[in-house]
Parts: sequence; C-alpha cells; structure tokens
Amino acid sequence: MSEQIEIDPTGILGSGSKSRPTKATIRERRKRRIWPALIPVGVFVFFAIFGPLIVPFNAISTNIVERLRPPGSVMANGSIAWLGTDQVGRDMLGEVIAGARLTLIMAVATIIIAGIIGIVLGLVAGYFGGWIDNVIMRLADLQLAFPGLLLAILIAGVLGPSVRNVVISLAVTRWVTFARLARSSALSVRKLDYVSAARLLGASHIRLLGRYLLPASISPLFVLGTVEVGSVVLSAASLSFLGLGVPPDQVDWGSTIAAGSDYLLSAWWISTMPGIALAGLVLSVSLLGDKLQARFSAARSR
Amino acid sequence: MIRIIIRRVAASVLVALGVLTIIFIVVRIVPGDPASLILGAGATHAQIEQLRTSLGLNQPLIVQYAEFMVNALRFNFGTSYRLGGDAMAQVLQALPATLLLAATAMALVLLFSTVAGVAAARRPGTFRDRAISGGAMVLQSLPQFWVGILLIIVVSGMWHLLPSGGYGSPLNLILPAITMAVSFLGMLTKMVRNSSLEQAGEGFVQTARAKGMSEQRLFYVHILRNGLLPVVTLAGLVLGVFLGSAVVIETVFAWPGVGRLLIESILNRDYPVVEAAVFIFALIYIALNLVVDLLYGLIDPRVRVAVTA
Repeated sequence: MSEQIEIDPTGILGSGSKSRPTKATIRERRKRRIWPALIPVGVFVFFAIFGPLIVPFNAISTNIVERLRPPGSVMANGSIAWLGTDQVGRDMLGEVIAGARLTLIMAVATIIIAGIIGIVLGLVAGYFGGWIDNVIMRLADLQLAFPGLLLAILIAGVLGPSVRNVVISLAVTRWVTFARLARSSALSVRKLDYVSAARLLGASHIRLLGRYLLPASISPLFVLGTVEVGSVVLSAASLSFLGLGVPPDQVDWGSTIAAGSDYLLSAWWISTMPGIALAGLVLSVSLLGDKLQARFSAARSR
Repeated sequence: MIRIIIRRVAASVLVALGVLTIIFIVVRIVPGDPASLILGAGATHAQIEQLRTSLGLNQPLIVQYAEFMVNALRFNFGTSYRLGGDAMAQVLQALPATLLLAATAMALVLLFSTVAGVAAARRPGTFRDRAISGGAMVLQSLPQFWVGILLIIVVSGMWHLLPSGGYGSPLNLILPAITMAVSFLGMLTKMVRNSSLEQAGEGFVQTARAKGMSEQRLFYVHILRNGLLPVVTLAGLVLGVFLGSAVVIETVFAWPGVGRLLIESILNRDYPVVEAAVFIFALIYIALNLVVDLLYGLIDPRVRVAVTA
C-alpha cells in the first residue's frame, strides 16, 4: 500500500534536474497545467458577455400562446426552441444565457467588494495587532456564528429584492475569509527584514501596507477569490430561488429555477436547464480553483 | 480542564450576545421605520405615530437596544404580526421538524462519507479512488435546491415512488434528507480520504508496519482512528450548516420547519418571528461549536495537552 502513496505529488523533485524528463514527470507537468481548466470557465464567461448578442432575450416580453413548449419545439415563426419555452412563453435558451450574465455579474461584484473589505481589514489587523486586531477578528468570529446563508438571507430579506442588495448581503457575509487570509499573511511578513528596512527608512503605514504587505499576500488571495466564485454563485442563486434575489423583471438562474418549480411535473425543463448551467459553472470554477491551489502551494514550497 | 470549559462557555455567551446585537442592527435599524412597515402604505401619520409610541420606537436607540436585549434573553421577541401568538413559541413549535430533518441528513452523510472515503483511501490512485473523488467534487458543486427539484421530477413525478413534499410519514422525510445530505456528502468524503492518506505517511504507521502488523488492522485501528479526527470537528459544523440550508430545502419540499417559517416571515415582514428564528438557529450553532470544541479535547489528548500547556 505504501508504495502507491505519491511522495512527490507536485513533481517538484522530478522537474528540478536538467536530464530528460521521465514519463511520470511529463504526466505530472500535464496535470499541473492551468489552461485546460480555464476553457470551461471561459465558455461561461464568453456566453455571459456575448451570448445576449447572439441569442436576444427580453425578460418582459411574453408569448402566452407558445408557453411550456418542450425542448426542440418548432415555434410559429419557424425558429426552434432548443431548450423549450417557460411558463410565459420565453425562450429558455435565451433565458439561461441572460441568467449567466446576471449571475456572473453578481458573483464577480460580490467577490471584488468582499475581497477589498476583507483584504483591507485583514492587513490592518495583522499589521497593527493589539486592540485593532482584536476588534476586527472578533467581528469576524461573530459573523461566523450565523450558520451558512442565514445572515445573508436576513440582510437580503430586510433590504428587499434587487441585484444591488444581493451583492451587499453576500459581500457583508463573505469578507471574513479574505480577512483571515490577509491577516495571517501580514503576520508572517511584517517582521521580515525588507519590511523593517522600509520602516527604518521612514515609510508610512499606508505605504508599508500597500507596497510591502499587500504584494506578499496577493497571489493566495487571488486563488481564494477564484475558489469563492463557485460558492458565491450558489449563494446568489439560493437567494433568488427564495425570492430574496433579483426582482421579477430580471432573470437569473435561481429565479428561473424557482419559477419552474410550479411546473415540475408538467414542464420539467424550466427548472432543469438553468440548474445544469449552474452546476456546470460551479464545477468548472472549482476545477480551476483546485489547479490554481496546487500550482500556488507548489510554487510556495519551492 | 474545568477552567478551559468555563472559558469556552463564557466566550460562547459573549458570541450569543453579539449575535443578538447584529440581529438588532439588521432588523431594527437598517430597514427604516418598522411602524410604517407594519401598517403599510395606506396608514395616516397619526396612526404611525401611535404605533411608534406603543412599540417604544420614540425612545432613544440605546434604550430600545437595552430593552431588546433584556427581552431577547428571556426568549421574548414579541407577538407575531402574521400568525398571532408568541413569536418564539411559533419557532419552537416548528423546531422538531427541522431537527428531525437535519439529524437524518447527518446520519446519511456520516454513514456514506465514511464508507466512500475509506474505500477511496484504501486504494489511492486507482480507478476506484478517482471515481469516488471525482464524484465527491461533482456532488459538492450541485446546487442543493436544484437537487431537491430534480429528485421531485424523477422520483415523485416520473416514478411515483415518494411524495414530493409534506410532512407526517417517514416517506416524506426521505427526499428532503437526501437533498440536505448531498453537498456535504462530497465534502466529508474528500475529507475522510485525504486525512486518512495523510496519516498513512506518519511515523507511527511505519513503526506498526515494521513490527509486522497486518495492513488491514493497521488501516482500521491506527490510520482511520486518527483520520476521522478532523471529521468530528467538521461534523458539528455540518449540522450547523444544515440549519442554514434548511431554509432552502424546507421551501422546496414544503417541510413545516423553522426554515420555511423564517422565509415566510421574512417575505411577510413578520420581524418578531424572523428575530426569534435567526436567534434559535445561531444559538444551536454556537452550542454545537462549543460541544465540538470540548469533545475534541476528549477524543484527542494531544489537543488537551497543547491547550493546558
């Protein structure tokens, strides 16, 4: 059994020598390539950006005559509804693509806002230490006392359904992960020689934080941001599914799944199609996240 | 050890007070005037003023806060606007259904993730391992509410095997429990596998092997016992996260628990029930964390030594 455990899972030992790479190293290198994992994510991003130009979709226009058509139906105007039509006769393909755009916008906005709040608070906490650190990290602990989505549900419910409020309620509950990572990286760097040297040369706190501590922590934070996209997408979809997400005149995957849940037994495709897209996006993002994590931890141990 | 327990319990009480403060800020301050919210758009200025006085909203914020905290600690969140009766009583009445669902899902997760994780860890790198690890990743990526919907479409709609929702018989429990279990099944399976594999490289394993212990005994007695340690920590957290996901799953399956009560109360702006439900969920979660913390010291003596030293 023991010989089956990889001693060098990242292939660092094997790739260090200049001699011809063995088959095993080549296989390891191939495993560590990042671009294959970028392709599925790229497909989703492409459709989110250009999809609405290719397959136009209007959330407000309805076509009651051709509602609840199964996938592949030929419509009256000769076009084919590849994914069927929904409960008010909108084309599901266009709806799923429009949903991709809104879902990705909400997720990226949430990550950026939560990331900025978390990085600033985390770096400040780790750099200054003392009571500032205590206050910030206790606040973080406090948020983690709410299980799962509960705090986001509470905030989104109080603020009312809108894209902006989804982003607010998710960002407010997501900064903690970024703060913890930024803090631990600031703690590990702040006593290093190059930081002390800069301090002795008279660098201000802001300059030390921005030019010396931030760059040291940026790549793990970037990896974290990628990994978090998946779970933020799921959270945003859950909020929309509960009716706390996007307003009725906009569509994202969560709201389409919720709308279809009244027609599960008669029109299964309404809830199924956006769910497949949602699961596909989350899976592609977590594949990419795994690759980035492996690459990053290999780079750090070198 | 007793000093550690006292310190942890005190910390948990502080966190509970902090949770109440956050609830106060989010529900009482953020949304604006509760009186006009309760009365709706058609209310006259005099009516709003009267309700503001009777709700104590004209008092300084700090007085309102103190009153809220004192009442909350007595589990008194006021009367439900929508259902009538005590808000906390409504929540406690719905609690057994949620706990039943979470406990069943928990049992499913522990059972299947240990079996699958062990199966993967015994033969790392093989097809079996890769199939299990890959499956675990897919399970983690599935949106929970969508899994529930698919189960309804296939199991209830196409096969007519189980009811699509409702409460009462054990049959009603099966689909929601599976739905709740699915994503954590993936997470815990991966955890059991990885932490068992980590243990396999430890010195005590090599010692035992050098002494001639059979691989079978080595795995189940030494590796697995240590490999399951992080699972204990996570299991407590998972039960807590189940409470959070109860909101979504109970909505899908029309399960009469606290989660569905919470979302219906939020949508109807019935804030006393919202406050009570969120507080109960957070309280259970805090208590679980505390128990896990203390249990961990009991199971793994190394942690206890490290904390005392």
